[in-house]
Amino acid sequence: MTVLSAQAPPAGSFWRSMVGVTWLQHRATLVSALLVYVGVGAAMAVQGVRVHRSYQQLLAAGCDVPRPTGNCPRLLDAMGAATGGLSAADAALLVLPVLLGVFVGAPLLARELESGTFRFAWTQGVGRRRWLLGKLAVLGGAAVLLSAALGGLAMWYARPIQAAGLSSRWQSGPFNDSAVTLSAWTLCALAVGTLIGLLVGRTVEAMGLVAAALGAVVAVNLLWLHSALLGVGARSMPSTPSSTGLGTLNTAADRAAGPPLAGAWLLRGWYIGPDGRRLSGSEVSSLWDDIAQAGAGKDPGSWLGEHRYTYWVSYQPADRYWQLQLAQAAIVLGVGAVLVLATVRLARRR
Amino acid sequence: MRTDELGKRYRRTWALQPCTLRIPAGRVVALVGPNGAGKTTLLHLIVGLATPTTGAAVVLDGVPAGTPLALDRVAFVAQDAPLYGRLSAAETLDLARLLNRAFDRRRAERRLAELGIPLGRRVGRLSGGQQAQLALTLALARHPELLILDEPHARLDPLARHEFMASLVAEADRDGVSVLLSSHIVAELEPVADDLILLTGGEVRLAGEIAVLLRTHAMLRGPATGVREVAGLPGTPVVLRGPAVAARADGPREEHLVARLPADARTPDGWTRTGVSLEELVLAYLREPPIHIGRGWTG
Repeated sequence: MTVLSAQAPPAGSFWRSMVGVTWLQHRATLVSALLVYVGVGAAMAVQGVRVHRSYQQLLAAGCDVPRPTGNCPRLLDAMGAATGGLSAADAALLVLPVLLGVFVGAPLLARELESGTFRFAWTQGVGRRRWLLGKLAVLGGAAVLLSAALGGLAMWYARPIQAAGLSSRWQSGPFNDSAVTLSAWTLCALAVGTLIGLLVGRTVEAMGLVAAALGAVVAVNLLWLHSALLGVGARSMPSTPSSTGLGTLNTAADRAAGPPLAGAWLLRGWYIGPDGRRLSGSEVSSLWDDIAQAGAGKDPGSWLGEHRYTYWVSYQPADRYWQLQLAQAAIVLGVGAVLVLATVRLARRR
Repeated sequence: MRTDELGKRYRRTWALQPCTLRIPAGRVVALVGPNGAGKTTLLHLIVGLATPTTGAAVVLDGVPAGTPLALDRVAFVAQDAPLYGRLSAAETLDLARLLNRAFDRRRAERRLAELGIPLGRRVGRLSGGQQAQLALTLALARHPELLILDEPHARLDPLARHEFMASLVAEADRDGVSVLLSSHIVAELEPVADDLILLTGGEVRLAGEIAVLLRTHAMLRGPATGVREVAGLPGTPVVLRGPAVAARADGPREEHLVARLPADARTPDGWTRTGVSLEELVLAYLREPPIHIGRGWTG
């Protein structure tokens, strides 16, 4: 039988107290985390300003991105060089939550258990459950502020590069470190760290395990989840094949494509023969040989039409981007919430 | 405080056999027993740091132990007084104030000043005794109705132990706080404790008001016959515990037995009867293989 606390202090003072408690106990970690985030953010801001300036010059020169002329190739090259920085930023942004999980999440309970101070903390008037949830909420709130700021910065940084067709917001890097998905992933990493810390009960071992676990999650799940999600509810439509393939279409030519494909993410392309059957890989090769022999490589569309072949693509339309962002965040947050619940339950039974 | 068939088992071993205890309010209760007897387990069950395998504990007129409502009114000082070594004494007071609804910071500061514990010093740099005093200060500043201490003087030297107990009892007396404290040093508890709970091997061996226990037990001295039964005690329920002292070096061999013997009972023939100290009583109960006399109160 449980009795709910009859004289819980007013909510405002509870949160103020938990902010104070968290600050007293974790200020060194919080300040370090802030410095790391500010450092990464500053590097991205400097790069970002440069990229935005290049893009302004590109616009001012009136460059046509698919067919650059004059000074434009040089300007585009400068933009292209900046994509390396963007990839580095994407990678850093996916690793930062791992660091928070390792250095904030793992020691949160492991250190209390290891040093015995849980016997102090869990016998104070606030109670074990509210102590744990309060701390997690305060630390999680700080983590969300930091990661949403960096995620927003990453989106701003990438915008001109994406506008120039050198990158796409649908790619797994940018997709996973938007303000929305990065915040969710950070909270989940914090929850993973806290739970493992509780289960292991020793700080150093817990930190090692959390690093390994979160590294595996980044490597497998986030990337897998991204490609799995992008296939959900995809649409398809007849289109014109590009000689350069889908990947390039997704970045450079999507604005040039028809309205449904503008800003869309192309998933797959396939050919339907005159008999209404999908062509196999070898059949596609021989089809392309035929097109080349006919000298129709420049404009395969009309040749295909004459010979009653059609080319189809499946895609995610641009307006589904934020739906899928929220879906990804919801899945990751759901996992995090389950982990937090498990942590609270296990901590109660300890 | 009350426990009903409260027990805790880790895998196959019972850290605490199911026990039923009743402890009236306003007392200083000593929980005594050798290391590993289950004292910490019992205290952790009462403050909710452990969950019982069987039964339940209730504190302060029916509040289930370990709930936020109970924790709000019960202060606990754990063994070795674990505090955060990197915080200063003043920050530790801040932490306790933030974690509790009621916290008398001024009183805590005054007490630390009296004890000569510098507020600015980091807890990790305080001596073991100062850390114990700081932990007690935090507990007292919460104005608890029940104060529970687990081996509070394990890290103190004898003089500091004496002073610690004196200040604990004085402060507890002033506020009318009930105190439950565990120790394996019996002698220092005798002057301050009202009640005794003796635990050994995870089992409550003896529990009751100390004055009553001393009145109903006696030290019997008689010939060393090797016989543990003392014949000729008509109509008197006697439970023998001993030998408290097996032999005397200089005189004829004689056996000293601690007997549960009401004050008005007749002394058996051939034996002399003297009073028993709390330490002798506890040692006798610890030494003898258990003769079951019923669980819980024996008084």
